Amino acid sequence: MSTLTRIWFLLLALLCSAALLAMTFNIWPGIPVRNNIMQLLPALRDDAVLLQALENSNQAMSRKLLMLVGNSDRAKTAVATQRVIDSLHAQPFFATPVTGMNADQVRAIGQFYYGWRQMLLSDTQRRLLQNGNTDALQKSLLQTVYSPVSGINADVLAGDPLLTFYHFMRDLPVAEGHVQTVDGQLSVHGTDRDYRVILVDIREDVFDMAFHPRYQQWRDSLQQDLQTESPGTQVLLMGAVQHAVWGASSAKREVSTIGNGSLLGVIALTLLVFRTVRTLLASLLPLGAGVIAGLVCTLAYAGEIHIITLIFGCSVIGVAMDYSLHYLSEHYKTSGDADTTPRHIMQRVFPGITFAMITSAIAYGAIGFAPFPVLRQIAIFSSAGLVMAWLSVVVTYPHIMPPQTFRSPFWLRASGNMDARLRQLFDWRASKILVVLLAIAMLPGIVSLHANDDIHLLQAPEPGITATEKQVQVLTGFQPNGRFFLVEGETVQQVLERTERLGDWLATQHIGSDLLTHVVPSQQRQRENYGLLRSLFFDAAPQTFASRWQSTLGLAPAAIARAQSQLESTPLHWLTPDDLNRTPLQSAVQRFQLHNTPRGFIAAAFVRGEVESAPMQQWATAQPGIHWMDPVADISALFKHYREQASWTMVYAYALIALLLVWRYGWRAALHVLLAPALAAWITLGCLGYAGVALNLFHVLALLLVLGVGIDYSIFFAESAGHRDSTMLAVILSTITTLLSFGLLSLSQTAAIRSFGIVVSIGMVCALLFSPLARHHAHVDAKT
Amino acid sequence: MYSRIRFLSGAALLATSCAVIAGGDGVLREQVLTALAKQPQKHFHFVQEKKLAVLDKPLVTEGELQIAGEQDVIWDIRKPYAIRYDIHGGKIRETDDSGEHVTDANSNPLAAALQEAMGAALSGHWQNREDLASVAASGTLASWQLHITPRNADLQKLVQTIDVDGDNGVIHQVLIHESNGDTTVIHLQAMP
Repeated sequence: MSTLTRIWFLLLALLCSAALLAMTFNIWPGIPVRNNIMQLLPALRDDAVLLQALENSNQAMSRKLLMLVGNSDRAKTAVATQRVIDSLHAQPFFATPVTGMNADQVRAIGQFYYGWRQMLLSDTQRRLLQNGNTDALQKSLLQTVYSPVSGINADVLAGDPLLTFYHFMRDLPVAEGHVQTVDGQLSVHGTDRDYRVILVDIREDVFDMAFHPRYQQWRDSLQQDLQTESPGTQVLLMGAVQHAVWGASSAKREVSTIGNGSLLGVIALTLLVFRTVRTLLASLLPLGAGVIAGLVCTLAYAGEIHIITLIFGCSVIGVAMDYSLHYLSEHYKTSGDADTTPRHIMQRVFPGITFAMITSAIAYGAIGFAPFPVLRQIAIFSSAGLVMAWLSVVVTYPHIMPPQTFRSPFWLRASGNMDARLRQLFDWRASKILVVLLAIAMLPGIVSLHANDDIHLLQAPEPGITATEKQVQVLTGFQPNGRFFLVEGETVQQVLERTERLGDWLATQHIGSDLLTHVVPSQQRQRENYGLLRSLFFDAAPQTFASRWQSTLGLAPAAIARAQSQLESTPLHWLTPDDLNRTPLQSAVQRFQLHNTPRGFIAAAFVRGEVESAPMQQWATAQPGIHWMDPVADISALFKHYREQASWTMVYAYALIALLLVWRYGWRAALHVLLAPALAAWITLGCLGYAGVALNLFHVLALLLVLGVGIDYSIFFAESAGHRDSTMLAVILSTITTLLSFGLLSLSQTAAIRSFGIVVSIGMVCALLFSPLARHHAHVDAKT
Repeated sequence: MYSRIRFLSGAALLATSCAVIAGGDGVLREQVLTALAKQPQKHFHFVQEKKLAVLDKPLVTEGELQIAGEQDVIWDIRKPYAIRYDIHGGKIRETDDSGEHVTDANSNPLAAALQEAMGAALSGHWQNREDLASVAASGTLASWQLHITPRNADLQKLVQTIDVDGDNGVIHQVLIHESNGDTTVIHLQAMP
């Protein structure tokens, strides 16, 4: 090894070590790291317009932050609320907070609609008039006039003698759930205190981890200030940002735990078995190169990297280590021999590590078959990392490793002994029967397996945040379930007409709704309303309804005459959504997300309370331009679909790898090589069944890894020729590093990652135990 | 021109009369205030008579009034027709022989605030509402009159004065003079 080579090696090793440490300590300068759960998912709809509308809706929802501020002392609540509002105004990443509607704003709304009063009717009055039920209309009007809570006075009756405008205004949706307006401020009643309600939009992407420190700093300092200024004040927060911030810090912790755990394991094992710093640096070289390659390829593909990809990336450390361990075991065993050159060592291990790399890359690549963006990132990161790790070993190891033998042959001897014992075990006649019996014993477990395709597999909510959310939901009565309708039309008016059709249908189903047309009816409906209103004043049979009402109530005739005259003389002009833009109702309109699309226009429509999804879907399917959106159900359906698809992919992957093995070893030996991972997968499935674990997409994908990584060990044995002890040592060390990586995944807060960890851990132990079958029972004539 | 703010309910006006008693000063006022705060009465028979300038006859309503909690009020009307209004948690639930209809009491913030204050007042849980009106007291504790004048600009547009008659901790009558000339008188009679 020349001095120049030594310097290059040192530099490379340092660079790779730095890359490894940067990753495991969450230092990603300039790399856009995301943790949005929705980015994990493939497109829920094929239709680009609906997809965009869904995306808009998700984004709008994710940016909302609902705050409840309460102190048992009302005065302190007011002070604390003002403090919160001031702090929101002081942060550029918050939009203007919504805190309620004061008397002036309410008056402004009334004044605004008054100009269009001849086109506006409440749903109840319109239905009565459409059915010609004027008796019921008169009864309801009398109830209103006499009511001690209606607030009707002479001014109201003089300006609106038939109270049509009064009823329209009364039925306007103002606040949802238990939220009330007190002194112009949104409020809710709690058991021991009242809370002020503040709703604010966040201008930044709440899933951008670069934003999180600023948000956390604002939140923490606000909490501190409030405790100092108004002790006992409770601030309850509900919003996606809360989950995003916690999820990101939790994921960062996992990256550190898994990364550092794997790395420390590798370092400890290398030092323990090989006992030189050079070997340690040589081990870190392919790992660091792999991580760099993984990052570069993933960024080139996606332009950003998801935090879950990084968690998996850390686990690849354990697998990428296989190649160097295999080379190093062989090197330390034989490099002392006079006739063995580094070239010979590489020639011996090359087929094994190359085949192992190909099968692992196939398995990791197969994970990316499903169009889940994050799975594709994992597939790319891992495959690129493994290929680079393999390449680093093949290219650099023969040049950087000077001849050296084990300082302590203990580990080699122990591995040889273990191999011998396993061989004895497999030599034992009953062993085959035992293996068959073991496989049969797993059958009841496998048969009892059931599936779970819930979206919560991808979520790991923090109990504290969930509890606060629950508290806010109980206090406010808000139960966001993410389900809604999207209504499309070629024109805005068509969207409004279809929304009204939807509202009419929901009313027949006794389902409450929150629709754009409650604040701005379609022109068609306004025209109908105008006609109905005219009929009250002008249709005489035997007298007009207005006359009847006037005599019943003893109303001054001038009031009716004035209303009639106004109805006759006011020029018709129709209320449109644009007209609302300059009123306090603007924010109420914005949440329906009316916007144009390549096909026309689209808007959201919401149902109130819990509804069954199937009837909504069924009705919407039969209607032009109306779509029921149930992302949770869509995601579960996707998980189910891809779980089934992944099962088939596993079969194809087995077939593909089997073909490769048959090509290299012949069909009998290939069968034996394949036996270990197949048995490992079978036993893992059985264990899951006996443990009552519900099977999900991620378990199946993990079984793919059991095949891809577990087969490495069998291949090492199949290629081991006369070097069983060093092969066994390499396989044991590989299993330990892999187990360490995936075992640490089992500690993840996220069910999906945990599933991977558990399955791969069980599978790897089984793969190790059965791997000697490959060479022992198959007298391989490898085509070296 | 009018807007929703005009739809201040009779109940809200009554609420004003009760809620604002907490304001003002004077020995008698304090005595009345204390007596009202202690009064356990939660159930009344009422007769409400509204005289509106545009109507040639008064609107007379009769029924029972229950204070069900700090903020919950029930108007159970028997005449001229049967209907019940449950005011609870910011919602008004109307029930009659044709069914049930729920509306939002919050649609008028002022009325909602007064409704809340009314529940609190009549249940003896006084709220700090001095900003709404000034109060003067006359008579004796055994037969007092409170004269309430709104301070709040929005209330002033609706209500000129409110006169409340009572003895000790019991209200007998509330007379509301609206700014537009309408008057509402509510006679209350304690029920067992």
